[in-house]
Formats: sequence, structure tokens, C-alpha cells
Amino acid sequence: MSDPPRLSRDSGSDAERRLARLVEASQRDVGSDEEVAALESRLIPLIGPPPSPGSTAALPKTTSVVGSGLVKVMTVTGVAAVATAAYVFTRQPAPVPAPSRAPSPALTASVRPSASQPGPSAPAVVEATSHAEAPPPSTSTQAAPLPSEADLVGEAQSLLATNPARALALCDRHRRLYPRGVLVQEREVLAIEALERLGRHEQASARGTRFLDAFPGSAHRSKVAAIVGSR
Amino acid sequence: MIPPRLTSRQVFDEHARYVLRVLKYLGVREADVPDVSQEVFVTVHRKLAEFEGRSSVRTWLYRICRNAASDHFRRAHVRREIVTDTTAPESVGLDRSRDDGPRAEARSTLAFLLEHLDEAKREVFVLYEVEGMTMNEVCDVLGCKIQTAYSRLHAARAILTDLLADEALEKTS
Repeated sequence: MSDPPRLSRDSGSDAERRLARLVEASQRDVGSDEEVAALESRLIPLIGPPPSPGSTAALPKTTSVVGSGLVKVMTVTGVAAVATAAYVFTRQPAPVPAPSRAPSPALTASVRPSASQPGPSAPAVVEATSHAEAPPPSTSTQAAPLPSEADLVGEAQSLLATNPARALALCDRHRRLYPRGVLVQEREVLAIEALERLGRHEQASARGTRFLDAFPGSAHRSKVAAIVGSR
Repeated sequence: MIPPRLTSRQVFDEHARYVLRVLKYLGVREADVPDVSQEVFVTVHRKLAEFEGRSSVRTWLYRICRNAASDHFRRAHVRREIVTDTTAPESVGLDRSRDDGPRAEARSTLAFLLEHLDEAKREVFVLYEVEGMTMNEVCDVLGCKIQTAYSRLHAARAILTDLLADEALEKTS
């Protein structure tokens, strides 16, 4: 069956031609550069830097010193790619960001939790045991900047092979700071792998089971299922 | 030779504007589009390794947008954008202008008209007429039979042209 003729501004009734003109104009409305740049700046930890200096993204200054090698790292999909890029790209002298429940503009260079509603839900059991660290007093001049989500997950990833205990601690810190963060799944997978590497198989399996219950459609499901299933 | 895998960066560079546009047509409010589009690309990154290229990237992205919008509506208990607030004029005329140019104005007007369609008809109309997909692609995205898609498109066009014709009559009366 061939496709029906599309609307055309040159044929049909007046109303059809008018509708066609609206459709055509809408097709040419490709969104503003500002919209795209704002989205890009949020996603740099995931997608990497723009391919050329001419990009519209509002990059943090630190990106200028990172080479294209990172883009190659990003082509390896998965936690490592997210984490490595995030770790490098969000290292910047930022003002103190608030935890995910009160997103701050300072987080715009990291993967930022959604502002208008709770972020992607974490496993219920995890959330039940988590409690966000209190944000530093806003009046304090001595408060150290809180790490971004991507900082924590990135560092945990980089330490997973050599220091799983430290990686696990970083995952726990992420859980306290960002119980509803957008990198919850990646954090949980890292924590499960860290537990496994530490020989804490029962805990890895239990946490993996909770993960599978909470994220039945996760792209990380097969990896976690393998760990759980190996018990 | 195995083609190189897509990267999240490539998907973003080639389709960011498409994602933003689709979310708006799906009824996500302008103010919520940044958050929902962020979720779309987080999902893209997570699932990119699973994308086997059996469908086009755009149809794959549309499904992700659809799910993200649906989750957004359910989670936040927000309504679809209904452009019948206090700023909307009484008619559906092209004077629904905002400050961002005639193209955005056209999209805004079309979005207003599309609110008169149910979701099924609106999706077919947007994918076929606005996004230029083939009917097979539309059916692939929506999981419906081609006769169903034809029927929805026909009904959508009829409703939209009636709205425009009625408005034209109002202007001349």
C-alpha cells in the first residue's frame, strides 16, 4: 500500500493548504541554539565534548584542556564511559552545589537531576535506607564544594579494579547525596561489582536482586543478572 | 565489515532538535522539556549498546521520547500542555504569536490545533505530516496496522481542516 499524498500548500481546500503551510513552517522550526546548548551542557558527562570548537555548547573551562581521546573513551558504552568522562569534565571550581533534591545552577555541567519532579527512582530498598547529607550552610565560606553525581560515579569507576573498597565508599556517598539522581543505576551496578570484588558475594547478590526488581528494563540488567545468577 | 557503533554524542548532534520538537508535540510543557529531554538522552546512553539498527534512529528515539513523556506525565501528575490558558486567544488564528518568530508561532498554532486530537490521531499526524516518516515507519513506531494508521491520519486531517475552516468562517462573518 503506497503512502497517501502528504499535505501540500498547492492543492486541496483552503483549510488544507493552510494546514500544509502550518506544517511546513513547523518543520522549519528546529528549535533555538540556546535550547540545544543548554541541553548539551547538561549532558556533557554522558555525551562528551562537542566535536569542534565551533559548537554551541556552553562548555566548562576545563574542557579545553582535555583531548579528543576522551571522545574515544566515550564510544565504549556503559558505566566506564559515563564515569570517566564525567570525572574529567565536571572537575571545575564550581560554587557549592546543592544535593539533588534542590538542584543548583552550579550543576549544569554535570548530569543534573530533574528539577520539576523526582528524578528516576532509585531502588525502593536503597532509598529507604538512604538519607541525604545535609547541604553545607549557605553562609559558610569554608564549605568545600560537594562533588557532582558524575564526580562520584566517575571516581568510583576509576577505582573499581584497584580499590573496590574505596569505590564502594564513593557509591555509598553518592547514594546519600543523590538518592534520586540520574546516575542511580550506574552507581548501583558499580556498588554491586565492588561488593563482588571484595568477596562479599551475598551482599552483592542481594543488592543485585533489589536492582533487578527496581529496574526491570535496565540496560544493565544482563550484567547484574549474571552476578546474581552466579550465586 | 561491521559499521561503527553510534555514540551518544552522534545521536545528540544529529537528533537533539528532533527530540526537543517531539517532546513538545507530545504535550510536554516548554518548561519541562529540558528535564524530560535530559532523561531521553540518559536512556539513549544506557540503551545505545542494545540498538541494533533494525529501525531508524528516529523511530527508536521517538519511542524513547514517548516513554519519557508518559513517565513524566504519570510521575509529576502534570497535564499535557493545553494551550487554552489565559494567554490563548478565543480563536485558533495565526495571531497566536509569541516573541520567538513566525516558525515558533506556526508550531505553537499547530500545537494548539493538535490538542483537539486524541493521542492516537495526533501521533500519526505528527509522525507522518510533520516529521515526514513513511507510513511503514509510523506503524513501526506506534505498533499499529497500516490501515489503522491511514484511518487515523484521515480523521486527523478532517478534524484539523474543520477547525481551520470554522475559524475562517468566523473571521468572515
